[in-house]
Amino acid sequence: MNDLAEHRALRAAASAALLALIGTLLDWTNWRHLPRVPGLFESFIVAIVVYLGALAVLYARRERPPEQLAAVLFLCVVAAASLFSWFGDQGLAARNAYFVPFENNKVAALAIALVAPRSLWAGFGGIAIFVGSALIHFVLFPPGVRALMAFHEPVTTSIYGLFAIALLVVRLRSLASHEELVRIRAERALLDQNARIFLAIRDLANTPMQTISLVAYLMRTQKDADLAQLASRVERSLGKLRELNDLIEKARAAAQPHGGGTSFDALAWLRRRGAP
Amino acid sequence: MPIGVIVLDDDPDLRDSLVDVYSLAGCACFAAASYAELTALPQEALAARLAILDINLGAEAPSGLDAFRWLREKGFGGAIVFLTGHARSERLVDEATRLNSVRLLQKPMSIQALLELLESRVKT
Repeated sequence: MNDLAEHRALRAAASAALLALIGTLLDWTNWRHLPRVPGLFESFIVAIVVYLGALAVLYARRERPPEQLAAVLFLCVVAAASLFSWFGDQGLAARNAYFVPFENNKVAALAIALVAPRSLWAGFGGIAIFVGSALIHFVLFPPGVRALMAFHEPVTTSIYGLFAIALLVVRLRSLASHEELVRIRAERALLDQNARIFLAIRDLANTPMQTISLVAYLMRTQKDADLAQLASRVERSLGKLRELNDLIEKARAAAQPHGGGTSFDALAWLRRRGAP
Repeated sequence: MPIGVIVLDDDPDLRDSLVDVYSLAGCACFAAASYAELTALPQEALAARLAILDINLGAEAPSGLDAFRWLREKGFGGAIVFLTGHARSERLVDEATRLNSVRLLQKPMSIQALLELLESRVKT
């Protein structure tokens, strides 16, 4: 789990709660005129309470929202909206006239595909709740009510459900690709940074190494046996430092050229990055 | 007549050591720590036949490339060698590799290689 995923989950759950709140309020303005159906008003109140409760919890945990909590709240919102839609369809059926059922379920399934959190179970679960409840509701409607429904139900709702699942899969894959890209870029930036640190260290070491090799040569020219012996030791140590230099050289390929036309100071560059 | 050698490097220890080594080889050295020091004495600088230039001469200071351009502008006819401790991926070093008629050497160079620079000037 990472910050990006957590904030995406927070955004998804909050978007779902806000969309459901707006949709439910709009539906209520129409459905309150329907014949009295037991449970419609109660499900409306329950739905509003669940949406507002979810928004309150998400707001309280906005700094570091756990991804799982956001997904659970998302499903609670979906369940509450589905319950309200169930009673809304009951009200439409009670009119004893031609009606198009499960309109909310179809739209909601597509909306879930577009806003669901990254967790697979939250997205598929949300679509399953809306499409599944529509199919169960269809089975439970008496034959007389089914005769009044729009043609092709529940096939239409099922097709919407399948389309929503396909849309969700495409969206989740796209999100996964994007997160992978972000991760690769972050890794690349870190590698570049490390390579530049190695290079700056090596660059700083090269001038003193050159000086030491010159001084060792000058010591040899003094025609003093002791100095010549010391010079040999210095040269052997220089050889070891050159081997280290070759290792650092391997990091060079990954480094980016630095900008600017004037000289630069490798030591200052290292200090700015907190290297010792 | 001894060969004149310009040593341009902002590191005093390296600059002095290079001067000592080339002086031992019989050269007349002209040492400068910066672009300003080099250009302050044009007659001495332009009399040399070999210029060994460090590329990076300190933060935000004119670089060895600026010194190279100045020498060429003033008609310096000797050989110019860049001696750098920095990687070729650095922008200035990369720019130096694109210049014509110069050599780019990576520190630390062997004494033999440094003295061979001189021998090539004697032959010419």
